[in-house]
Amino acid sequence: MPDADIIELLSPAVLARIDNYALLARTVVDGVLSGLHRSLLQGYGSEFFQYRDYVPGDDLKYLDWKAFARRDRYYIKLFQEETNMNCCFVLDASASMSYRGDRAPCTKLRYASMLVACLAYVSRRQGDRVGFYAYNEGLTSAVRPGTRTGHLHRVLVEIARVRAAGCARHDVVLGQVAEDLRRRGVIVLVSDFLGAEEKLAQWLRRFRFAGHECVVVQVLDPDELDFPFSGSIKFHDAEDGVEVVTAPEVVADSYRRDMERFSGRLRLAALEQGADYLQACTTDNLGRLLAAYLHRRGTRH
Amino acid sequence: MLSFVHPWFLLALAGLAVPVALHLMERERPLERVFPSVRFIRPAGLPQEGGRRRLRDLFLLLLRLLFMAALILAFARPVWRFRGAGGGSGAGAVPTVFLLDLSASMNVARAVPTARARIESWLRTHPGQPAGLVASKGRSVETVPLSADHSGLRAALSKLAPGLSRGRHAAALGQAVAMLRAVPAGRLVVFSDFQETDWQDAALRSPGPGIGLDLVNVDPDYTRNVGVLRATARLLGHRKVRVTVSMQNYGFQVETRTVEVRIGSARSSVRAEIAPGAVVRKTFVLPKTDSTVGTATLDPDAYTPDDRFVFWSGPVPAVPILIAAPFETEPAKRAEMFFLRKALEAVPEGGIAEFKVEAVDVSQFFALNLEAADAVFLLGALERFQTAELQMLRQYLDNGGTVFCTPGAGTALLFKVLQTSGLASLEFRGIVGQHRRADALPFTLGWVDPESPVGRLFSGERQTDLFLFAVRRYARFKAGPGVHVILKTEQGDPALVEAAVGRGRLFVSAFAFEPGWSDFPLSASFLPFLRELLADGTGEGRSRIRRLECGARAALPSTLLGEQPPAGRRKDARIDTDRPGAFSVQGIPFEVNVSRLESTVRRAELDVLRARWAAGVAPSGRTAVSGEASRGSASLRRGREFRGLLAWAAAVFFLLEMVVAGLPRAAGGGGKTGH
Repeated sequence: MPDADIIELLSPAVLARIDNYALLARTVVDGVLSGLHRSLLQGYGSEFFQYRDYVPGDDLKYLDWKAFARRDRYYIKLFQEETNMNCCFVLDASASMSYRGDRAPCTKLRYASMLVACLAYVSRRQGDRVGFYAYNEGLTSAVRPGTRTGHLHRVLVEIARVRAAGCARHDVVLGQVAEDLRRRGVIVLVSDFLGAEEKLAQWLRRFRFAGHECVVVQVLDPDELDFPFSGSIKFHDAEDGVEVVTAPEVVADSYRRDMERFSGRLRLAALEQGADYLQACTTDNLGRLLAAYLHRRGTRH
Repeated sequence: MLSFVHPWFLLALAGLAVPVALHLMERERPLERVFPSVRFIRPAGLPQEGGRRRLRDLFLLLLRLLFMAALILAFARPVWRFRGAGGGSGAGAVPTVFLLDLSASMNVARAVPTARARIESWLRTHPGQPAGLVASKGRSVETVPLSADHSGLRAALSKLAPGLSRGRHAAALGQAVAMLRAVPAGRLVVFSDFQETDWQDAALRSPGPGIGLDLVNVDPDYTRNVGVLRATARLLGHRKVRVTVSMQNYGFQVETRTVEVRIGSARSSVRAEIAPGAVVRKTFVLPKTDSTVGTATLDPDAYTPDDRFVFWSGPVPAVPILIAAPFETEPAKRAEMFFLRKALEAVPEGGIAEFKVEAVDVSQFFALNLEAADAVFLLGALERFQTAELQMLRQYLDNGGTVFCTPGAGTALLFKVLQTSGLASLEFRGIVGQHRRADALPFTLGWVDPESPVGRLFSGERQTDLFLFAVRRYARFKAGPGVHVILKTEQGDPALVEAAVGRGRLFVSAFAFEPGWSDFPLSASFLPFLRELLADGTGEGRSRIRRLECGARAALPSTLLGEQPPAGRRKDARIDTDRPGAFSVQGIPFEVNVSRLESTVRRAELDVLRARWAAGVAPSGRTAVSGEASRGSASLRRGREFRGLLAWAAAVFFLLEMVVAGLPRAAGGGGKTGH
């Protein structure tokens, strides 16, 4: 198990200072996550990749008993996907993703970008074909899945170029992405999904029918979760410019209820379509978050 | 009717906008924030804490506004008059009386036209409203009674022009107030330049209840004026006249003016620079002409009546001197009278008689008109006066007369009378030299006060003569307080003393001016000594030329024996003071000029004037107690003044503001910690 201090180094406050996404992903994945998970994708025909120390909870079928007999230490055998699957990341770059609360070390977009970079690094290291799409009112970045040398670098550069602006037109863009991805694989949707709870199930169903496995990552600012404001505030919507003057102390409870209901609907829609749902707060430790998710995913598979 | 004693303080009410503006600027405004999940936020009003704070702020603002308003109103001194509207109710129908100052100072170019234009403007905008006019021209008053028909007022207004008289507005004010007393409520509008000399100390009777008062300064910007204060002419021998012109700068900045003096065809001019408030004298020597009238003229400024001064340049009559003595009982006094008359009536070479001496017996003194004499010589007469004569003498001295007393037969009684009547504090000690042998050495004078006119005259060679003549006997006395010793004998006893009595002066000699007492009348010093004392005592030419102001009442002076001019000559002897001029009436020269009191550019403080007027204050500062004024004051008292109430209200509002401002501080802190 990695040292707790090292895990702290993966807090968004630290990672947000790293501009280079390649370095960031390597730091997260190679430094901390290796050993914490099995693999993002584990299909049939996997071949031996490397050893790692045993971690309580690991499936004992991967324990190398011969190595234990020789060295008197537990090693887990890691296998690499051989099928060269697609792993495609779809990042919401609408204006709402630019929000950064007083307690958050970075914007939602930055946090989502870091998360995508790390997962892309993991996927690429497993030999998957990594693709990347960013969108708001339309597609702003599109890197189709590929395996060529430097493809990951291209993906990371595109991630770094993403800027938040405009409204998110999920239905249009996700339709384009679905058209673009012919080969089955994993699609990771990263967004706050504001206003998408109605149609998320529909989109996920479409991806599922096309043979894709979906992961829904909802990125939120802590302010959006607990609504900690006070006094008299005029709120401007980041995307459509709607203004609401309110007393937060008065409406905080109803807000939290609505936000919980919204997240619950997203989670329910994801679960109904067999997709993973992950809610990430921009103050969450990225290492812990990814480790926990990958571990959970590994045990499920 | 609500009125204000100091209405201009109400301008400060505009300051109430300041706390309102501060309140609006510092009130709680909602913060603005861009937020992604606005769709879950419901609009809502301020929480209860904010609402309380807003209420508190509004209450504080209200208290502050009330405090300021009460304070300002307290300074403005509102007065509620119960009787009459005074322009408050139906202002369009309030009878209005215009009082127009037409004194000499209103000759300034814009003054009367401005007043006339404003009155005409009022008449145009208030057709059918009763209006009256009172024009104050010195002592004379022209009135147009209150009438809704303005034609008479307009006609009178078009004819009015400023006069040359000094402003005396008491009669005009009385007329105006009397016109308004006939109506339940009215308005008195005074158009004047409000000269300090006319108004500052004027007796202002309260206009009474229900009468609104407006004071309109028609020429507030008039601040420059130079005038000829006085011009006097004196003959220099047979061929020349010396003219002394005094000019005064009444304004507030240095002025450079040219003054020209003209007597007949002779003229001379000079340019003079005059500092603010200063008096500059210039002397001219002109050839003597046949003309008896001269003028001193300045180049004209905004106020022209004082730029010209008319003076008498002809011969002046002799100064009347009265000698009273017991000629019948003391024959020696005839000799003393002889020497005095001889000395006073002597005509200098090329000159004219300066003194005219009348001698009467002391028994006739009670019948005399002392005011006709510039100086009175009482030769052994005072000790014979009864109470009536002493009162006459006292009054004469109080009015500025000059009296010389010499001892006579009752010397001790003389000093006793002086002492008991309070004329001079002189303690008699006896008569020195009364019983000396004939061949004994006489006394002489030994000291003269060098600061006295006589002392200044006898400084130098002539001093020896004054100290050489023989004094055979003299009254020895001790001078008390208030008595100034002019001459002393060589023994150190007072020989001539002077005592101030009222505005006059009383001279007491220790010896009589006749050979039985001294050789003084035989000495060369006697004549200059006597003339110097008289010149100093009577004021050179003081009574020889009568100086009058335009518009003043003037009568021919009566003679020493109280005789008036014969009835047939009175018409001829009418003294015209309507316009400036110099003339002689029955041998008495008169100079008539515009009063220089009208020349000042200083203005009375209108707010003080208004307040004094409202209270009915007499010049001395006492409240007027005449019948009408008393009624007015009583009526005023029926009006109610709120100054005290407003002051208390301001104090209460201030305390409340302190309390309210302090209380929520604790409540607000608790709210925040709770939150």
